[in-house]
Amino acid sequence: MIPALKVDGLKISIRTDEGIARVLDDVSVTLESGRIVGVVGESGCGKSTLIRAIMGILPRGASVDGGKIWFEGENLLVFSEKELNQRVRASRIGFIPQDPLQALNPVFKIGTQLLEAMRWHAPGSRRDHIARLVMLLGRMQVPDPAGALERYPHQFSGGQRQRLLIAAALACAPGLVIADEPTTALDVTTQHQILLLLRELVAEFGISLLFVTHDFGVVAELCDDLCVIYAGQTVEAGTVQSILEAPSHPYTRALLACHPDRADSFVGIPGIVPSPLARPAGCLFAPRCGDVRPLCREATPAQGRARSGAAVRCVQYS
Amino acid sequence: MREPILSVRDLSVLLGGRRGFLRKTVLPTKAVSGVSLDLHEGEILALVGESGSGKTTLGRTILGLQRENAGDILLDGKSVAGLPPDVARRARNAIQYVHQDAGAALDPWWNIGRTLAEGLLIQGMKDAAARMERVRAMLAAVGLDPESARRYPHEFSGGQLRRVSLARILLLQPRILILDEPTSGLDMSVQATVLNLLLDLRKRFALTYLFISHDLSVVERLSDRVAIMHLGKIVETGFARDVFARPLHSYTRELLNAAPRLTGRRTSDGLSAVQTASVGAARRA
Repeated sequence: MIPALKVDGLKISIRTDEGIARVLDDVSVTLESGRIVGVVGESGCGKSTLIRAIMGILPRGASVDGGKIWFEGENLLVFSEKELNQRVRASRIGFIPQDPLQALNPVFKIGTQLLEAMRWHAPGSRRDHIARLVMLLGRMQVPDPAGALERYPHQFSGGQRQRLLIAAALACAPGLVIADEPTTALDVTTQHQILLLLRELVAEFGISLLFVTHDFGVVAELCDDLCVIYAGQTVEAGTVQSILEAPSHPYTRALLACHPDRADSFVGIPGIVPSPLARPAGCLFAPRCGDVRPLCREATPAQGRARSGAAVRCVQYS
Repeated sequence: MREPILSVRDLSVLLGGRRGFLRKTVLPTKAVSGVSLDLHEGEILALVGESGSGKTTLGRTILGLQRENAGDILLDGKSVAGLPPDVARRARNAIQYVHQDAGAALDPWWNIGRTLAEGLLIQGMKDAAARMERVRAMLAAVGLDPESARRYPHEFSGGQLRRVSLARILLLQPRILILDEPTSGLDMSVQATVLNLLLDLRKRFALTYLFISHDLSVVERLSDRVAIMHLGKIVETGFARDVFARPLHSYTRELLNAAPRLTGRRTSDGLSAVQTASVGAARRA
């Protein structure tokens, strides 16, 4: 079976005033159909750029230097803006944003905003669209779904707004949904409900979910597969269970050790993510790595395989 | 047992509401209702609750930014309640507040040195060179380069901004710090270093923390005692290890179960077999 989404060796650079920033430098993510993959990394590692590349909304000055984005057997990178709008965005790839308040226009009713996208991207009449939205909002456990369409964003709580946007992402029945840290702004109890809901929706609506987060706790709870990104490179990829049991890459181990469940004391990771303008030679994690060897500073390590079955980019495994 | 450094007795705070004359009467919301707390010297007390539970209002009231409607606040055994806001703020100078959003709390047009020195100026430190000396020493104490006094807020990362806002407050020589979600919005790796700094500063400057948070895993590691707040009331308080091992109130249990854990997925009712067993044990205990 072909994967729902396969990002293969993606390289993206952005021209800036200070030079060329190599934001993504060999990122690979595979999302098998019907599964949930978590993409984890610190801020500045390229998680948002990856999402923007898949959606085809890279900032100006960005260029794709290599790699492919396979989506249902087609390479998204060769699509024109018009093709993306007509054939991919909303209709086949849904998006759940991080900040539900920013994503909603305060002066329009919820129904107006959600139906707008369906008018362009979903088959059927307006009446069909309303019926589907009411069904979805009911499924999202939004109280009074029909009435909700007539209300404004400020009349909903943060958790409810996130439910509205999940419904919006599913409105045109896409096969792939991309979520950008959708629960970071929420309370733990609300976050928990949203995560449970997402899990159910994946099975119920037959979608595949790419979930970006920096919280390993959320990954452990929600995701099937995991892809750890550091400084624009995939450093470890495998199933969540195998990586949580036996993390192989030093960066994955360091990140996990920061989680309060695993930490003996608050250690953190010394240093910062290297700037995309000036990446060090050799392994990008070497300057912060606790297990660094002379070989690490010489060449970029090749992809190897750890005993856990995960693909790891580290000299210890290549 | 020693006298608590700060003591809150039956504190109530009403927010909003308006008298109806030719318009609808709106009843005020009881944001904090009948809260009592003791804060002992040198301890870390965590105030945990969801948004809307009244934890920030409680913090602001203790600080003196919000007037209490009923109840008493004792600082070193002396009552500082019932005062008008400006008098209250002066009487509670030993209590300072670290904002949740460090970036928004700094003036983008002022360099860090000027922002930090302003507090010293307000406190009556006239000598500019001496002010700058104190600022540079404090920046070093929170783990920043003293030269960063010349830089502007946008040049700092999220973790560094937390350090700047801590330095600003510590210059005022507080004894009690109210920390409002000091690690929200930070990466896990940065969060750990900020928490480490907080523990280190507490020792070095003999501080007492009131730590407002909804992140239970952080609270469990950092705090000595915990107070769980729900709908303006404190529903459970105790030593952190007791509360986390044997939560007594149903709301506390619900909060604990909702926190994402590395141990993996739970069944749809939100409890894993292990957790169900431990909760069951807690009920019997």
